[in-house]
Amino acid sequence: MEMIQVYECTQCEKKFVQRKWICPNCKNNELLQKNISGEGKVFSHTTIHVSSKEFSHLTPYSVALIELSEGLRVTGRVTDQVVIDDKVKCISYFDNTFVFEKFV
Amino acid sequence: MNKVAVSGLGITPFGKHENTSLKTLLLDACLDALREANFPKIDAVYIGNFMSGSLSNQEILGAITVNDLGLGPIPAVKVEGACASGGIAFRQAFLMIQSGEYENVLIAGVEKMKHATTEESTRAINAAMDNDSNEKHAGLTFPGFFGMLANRYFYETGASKKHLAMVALKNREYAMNNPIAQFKKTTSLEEIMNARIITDPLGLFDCSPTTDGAVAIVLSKGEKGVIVRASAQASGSTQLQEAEDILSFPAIKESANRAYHIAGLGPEDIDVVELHDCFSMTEIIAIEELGLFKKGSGWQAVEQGLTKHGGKVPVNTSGGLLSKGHPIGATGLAQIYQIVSQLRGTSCNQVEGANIGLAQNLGGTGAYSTVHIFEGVN
Ligand SMILES: [Zn+2]
Repeated sequence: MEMIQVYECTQCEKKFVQRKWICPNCKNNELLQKNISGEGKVFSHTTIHVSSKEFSHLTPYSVALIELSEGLRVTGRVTDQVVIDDKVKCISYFDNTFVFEKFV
Repeated sequence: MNKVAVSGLGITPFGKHENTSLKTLLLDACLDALREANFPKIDAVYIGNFMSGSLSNQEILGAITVNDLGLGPIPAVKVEGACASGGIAFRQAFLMIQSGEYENVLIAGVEKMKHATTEESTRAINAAMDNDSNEKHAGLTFPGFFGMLANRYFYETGASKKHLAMVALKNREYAMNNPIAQFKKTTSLEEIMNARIITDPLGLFDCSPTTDGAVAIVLSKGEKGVIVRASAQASGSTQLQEAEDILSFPAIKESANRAYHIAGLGPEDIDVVELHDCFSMTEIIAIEELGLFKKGSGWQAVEQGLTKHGGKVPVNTSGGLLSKGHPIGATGLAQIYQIVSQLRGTSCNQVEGANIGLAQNLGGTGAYSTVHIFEGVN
């Protein structure tokens, strides 16, 4: 399983998948990178049939919003069709793309 | 503070304008609006546009407008806020008249999209998302964002694809009476539900089309006719993964609450609404966020016919973005065009006795929202 790198506020410890320059929660401007578990469940999903040129060779492909076990959500590609509440884990991170796979 | 009234309107047909350039669309709409306003001395120009740079390699729309309309050495500004470019441009012009800086301002929105391939226009529309993010790299498209919303909304509320289709059908039926609308062909729930899937569960009819078109409005210092009762704007999340509640658009809610507060009115006072149905799903969430219906109940309001004539408040009587068309930078002004026409009593799908109207314009995936409230004053 791949870990997910997040940014954690050094003051209030709120975590963000994307970098924040100022913490929207407490206004502190120091955030540090940290790895968290890539395990979670599907919060929502869609299968994309029409996309832009850079992704059109992949269509149809599925993208899902994953709620990680630590509570925060991350958008990633999924290898199979999924439904809400399916358990998934992150299997790769490359070119700023998280890929998740179902597991039982 | 000055009161501000609408003194002129202009609009081109929406759809495909193969042989009419971006500039011609823009200036044709402007000329109509100026003529209706009796050619006042214009103090400034605000243009709403999103993709003339990426799809037509054309910028400086403000200066072109000033020059080719012979308006003199007045200031001009182009406003970009994705699909909310028009609403934001309108708000800037309103504020400048309200504050006393200007007396008459020309606002115009334009977009020319139909000459681009679907891949090109999809790419250009994706510029309305944060592209320096893992979300974009995952391949999430602009429609895909709203597909994700729809699947979660179904899961939490019990709504289904049929309710999305009901929104699309209502807006199509309104568009059939709007002479400038892009789609006027009759359709059915069955045809809508069985249409080609774009991003599950959204089919072709659930997604607004690409459109060529332009709209222009002249705003003036004044207290008569249709006046602007409130102008508000708010920002929201630029990424799905950062939304606290993905079935909420805080920018819509915040801009609506500010506008209601400024106008001293509430959702129950609104007689007619134009809102941002970029996707059928967006209309259901927007009627909830505008406070017209309780959160999680928008789909039931649609099912009960409460968002059309004979219901509680008619929504998108122009046909909406879904069927009137969605020339991105012009859309916010097209919504205002429809509300002003309703309050003048000259609209297609006229709402009998409409006196207070609201226009809500969304940009990006909830990144920007403007809300304007208008009143007809005799
Ligand atoms: Zn913090």
